[in-house]
Amino acid sequence: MIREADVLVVGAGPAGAAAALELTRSGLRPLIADSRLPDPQHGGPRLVEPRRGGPGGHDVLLNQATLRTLSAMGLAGRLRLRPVESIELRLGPHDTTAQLPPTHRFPGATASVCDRDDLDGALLAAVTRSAATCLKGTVGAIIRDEAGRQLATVHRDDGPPVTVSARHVIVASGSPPSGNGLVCTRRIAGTGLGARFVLHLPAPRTADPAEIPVCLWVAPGAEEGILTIGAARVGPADPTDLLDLAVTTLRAAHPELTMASPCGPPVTGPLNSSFTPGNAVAEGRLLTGDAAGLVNPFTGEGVSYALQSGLIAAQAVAEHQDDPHAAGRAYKRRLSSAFVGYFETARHAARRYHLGWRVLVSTAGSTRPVFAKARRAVLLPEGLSGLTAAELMPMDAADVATLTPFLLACDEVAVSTVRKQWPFIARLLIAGEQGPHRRLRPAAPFLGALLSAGKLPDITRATLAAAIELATLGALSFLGPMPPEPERGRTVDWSLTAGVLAGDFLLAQATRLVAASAPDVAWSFADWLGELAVLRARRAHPGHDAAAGAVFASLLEFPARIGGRLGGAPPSVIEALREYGEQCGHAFMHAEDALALRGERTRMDLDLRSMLDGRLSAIPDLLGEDAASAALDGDPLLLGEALTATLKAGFAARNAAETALDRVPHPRSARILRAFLRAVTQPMGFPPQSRSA
Amino acid sequence: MTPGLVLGSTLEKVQDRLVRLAASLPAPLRDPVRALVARPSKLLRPRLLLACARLGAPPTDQVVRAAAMVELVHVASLIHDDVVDKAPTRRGGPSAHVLAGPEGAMLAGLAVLALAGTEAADLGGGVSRVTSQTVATVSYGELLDVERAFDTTLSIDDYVELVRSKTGALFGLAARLGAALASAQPGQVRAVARFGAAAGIAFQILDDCLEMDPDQRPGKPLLTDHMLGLFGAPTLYALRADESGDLARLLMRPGFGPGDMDAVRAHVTGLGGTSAARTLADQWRGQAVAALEGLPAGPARDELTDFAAHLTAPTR
Ligand SMILES: Cc1cc2nc3c(=O)[nH]c(=O)nc-3n(C[C@H](O)[C@H](O)[C@H](O)COP(=O)(O)OP(=O)(O)OC[C@H]3O[C@@H](n4cnc5c(N)ncnc54)[C@H](O)[C@@H]3O)c2cc1C
Repeated sequence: MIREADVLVVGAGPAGAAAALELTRSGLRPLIADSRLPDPQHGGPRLVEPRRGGPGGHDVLLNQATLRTLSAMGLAGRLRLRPVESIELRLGPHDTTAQLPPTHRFPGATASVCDRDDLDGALLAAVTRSAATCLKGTVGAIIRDEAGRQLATVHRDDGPPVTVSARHVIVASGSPPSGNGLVCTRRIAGTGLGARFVLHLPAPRTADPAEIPVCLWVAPGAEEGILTIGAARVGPADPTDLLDLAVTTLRAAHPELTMASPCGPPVTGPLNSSFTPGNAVAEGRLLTGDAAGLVNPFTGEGVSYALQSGLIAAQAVAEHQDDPHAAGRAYKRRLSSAFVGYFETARHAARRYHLGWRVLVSTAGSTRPVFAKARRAVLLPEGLSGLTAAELMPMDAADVATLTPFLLACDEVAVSTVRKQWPFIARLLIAGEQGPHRRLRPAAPFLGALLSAGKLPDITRATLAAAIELATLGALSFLGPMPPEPERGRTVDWSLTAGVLAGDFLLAQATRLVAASAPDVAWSFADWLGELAVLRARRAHPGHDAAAGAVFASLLEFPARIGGRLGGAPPSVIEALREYGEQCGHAFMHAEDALALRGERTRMDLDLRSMLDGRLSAIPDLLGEDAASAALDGDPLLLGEALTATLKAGFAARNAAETALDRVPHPRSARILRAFLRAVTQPMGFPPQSRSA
Repeated sequence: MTPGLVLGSTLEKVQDRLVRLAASLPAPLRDPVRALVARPSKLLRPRLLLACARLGAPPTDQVVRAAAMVELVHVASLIHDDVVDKAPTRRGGPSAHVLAGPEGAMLAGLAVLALAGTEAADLGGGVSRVTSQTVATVSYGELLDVERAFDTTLSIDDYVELVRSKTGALFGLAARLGAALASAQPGQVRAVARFGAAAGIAFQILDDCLEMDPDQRPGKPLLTDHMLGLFGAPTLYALRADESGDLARLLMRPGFGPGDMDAVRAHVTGLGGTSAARTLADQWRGQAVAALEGLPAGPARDELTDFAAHLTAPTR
């Protein structure tokens, strides 16, 4: 017997369930097959069968993006979730060293843990309740006939096999048994780590590039007193060894775990992190989730990618119901903008991954802004709010509508410029962000200035905007506290090396984009890079004086000035824009100081000490070096004085920028620039006299 | 190679221009760059550019400017390479990071690259475009170079890709700019660009071979690259030929040091690594010369043929 269907979904894990539910929401009636679906003959949903690992299971971390997706699917309320208090990253030496790796702690408020079986059960139940047709069985061979229809054989547990003929197939059957790595977890009981989630990335033991990284973690259980320890590794591994390594390493770092004992069987599964957008469509079938290799190779995380890719596949199918080829193309296109960055470079994947590992681990103690951002972008679950400086630019809907397409185009250019060669940097450009206009980014004042003569924004200028952003990131990798000298010997100084490599790479790519898209700006652009180098050197070098904010003034002055020039503004307006940009830069520096003085996270991810050590603070300029270090030592009087002086200087810069904006006549341009200024200075609060403004 | 009088005086002008450009950098970035530029070097890339310029008769000042610009790109990459490798010396003197500290050297390299950028823009006519593409390729080569550290299984293909990006690209740029300034036909510009890239690859392989020959390079800190796990063509060939695995074990030893140098040389030579690498270099040299086939007989072609025949390492 042959059953006809518009869409066949293979597998009802996170990816398949998300796809099937999304398809029904678009009015389609997909057929979904999984041996774990409840048997319809037995009437109503029953308890679902546990997955591969057998009973006991484990807990999984659900990040904010996942929780949002689950609640859009109507499932969040059905899960027993336990909020995670904090997420900690430990990068560095192995258990054998006495010294513990530095810990980076992030507020976890928006992530939760949940029992894996609970999650699977909720997904399967939702699928069963939906308009999708459920088929309890396992899909065997699928062939595509001459007419382009997909013919799939579904083997049922009881009953003869069924052939399904479908126009579209979404493959969500999880990792192929081989995979390219392994994930193992086990529950342990009787411990007191509370609701902290801890992720360890031990340092390589040798210089050998064939050594394979592992990632270890402890997740709090949905149930108090129970924890899940886990380990993931790309490449061959033995599950027992991997779990043993997890236990010894984690115990060494957390003595609280010494008393814990296993309270469930080990759960093991393949890890497939071989994603490339090009491989996500095979013989007209859309691969999703683990089947597409969408797993973070560093951490083994994949639930959120599975859900997201399932949704994207369903949308592509729904939009191109009659044309599987078009659906495949749309799917690939969207995947490549949604999933940026772990493995993209087939030929060099292993080596680049290895480099990423070395750099992450050896920059664990580094406070260079770029490394702090890289740690978060590459290792942390996506979408944890509070992790990024997402000051919302206060704007009305019309201005958002002007800005958003331009900034999206800018992101697209920036990401596609670096993703092939440096996929991890591509993650830096997009990770953890919600909307393109929510970020403090130089492309915003650039666009604002581009509009200053009243012309509509030219979207092709997004390429120059991308160049400015890549160059800013590149400049940041040359800024800031220098890493400490590592011990001498036969090692590469990865943190210094990565700073140089990333900086050179980003600046070179930026320059290339400028030369190709705006050759008339090439000279000014190169001149700007030279100026940044000199300003930083004058600041860092004893005996040469440049204001702390000078580098930032230059970073923001350039986009504003060039935007004005390209937008056709008259010289007086360009001058006003230049002044605005400079003052924005100074205001940024003071706002960073204000955050650091209050002990809050700065936008560059620095604390007061590293700002002072790295000569990236204006406090010594305001109070003198001695007073600045006394403030650092916690002298409350000086701390207060420093904050007062910082705010005063910050407001002065802000007022100067506002005044400059008065000379920018075009209202929309001035509004966008003002919104950017507000976002820059938001950490300073409002000076008493202008509170009503 | 006895450079003709014209070439000699033009090269001197290039050198003068480099010195002046370095002097134009603002303090405190000026000093380390000035020191480096003042030391003798073979100016291979400017030489290549000048040779290609003889396909026509471009104004000398343009040629000098372009040649100095290409050399600036090279100098910037040397400064950054030395920061990464912590190389104590360069061209017979202390390297930039020894003079200015790692941060100073990083910024000096950036400033030199920026100077090359303004020079390229001033030259006009698409120079910025090809130069910036080349700089992007060279920076990718830097990445390839670092990520293969301690990889004893690096394939020769991957090695050649690395060398093509790191060295071949800039040689190719020098050649192409020289020919373009001479208003050579597009086919000729492409031909010399191929020549440059192939000659650059051959040059780098020969440079690796010199490391295996202690008598040739008294100036170079011995086996620095091997210390850092950066194995050149002779060693990579030897590693492939070594069924015992002894060489790989030796190279990976944590205590590996200058004292192991002779053993490495003996292994590499014994396993035929150096001669295999020389053969590879000859192949690339052959490709370079073959690229010249379509060029008219004349000074450019003669000088390029000579250039390929005398590819030797610069003093380091
Ligand atoms: C031990 C372990 C711990 C993990 N911990 C975490 C974690 O903490 N956080 C995290 O984000 N990720 C974690 N992961 C990864 C995560 O489980 C996967 O990335 C995610 O489940 C992928 O979802 P999926 O829908 O693509 O595939 P799966 O969840 O594997 O679902 C595939 C479904 O397809 C069905 N199926 C398979 N073959 C067929 C077939 N031929 N016909 C019909 N149906 C078929 C299966 O029965 C299954 O229901 C872990 C993985 C393992 C192995």
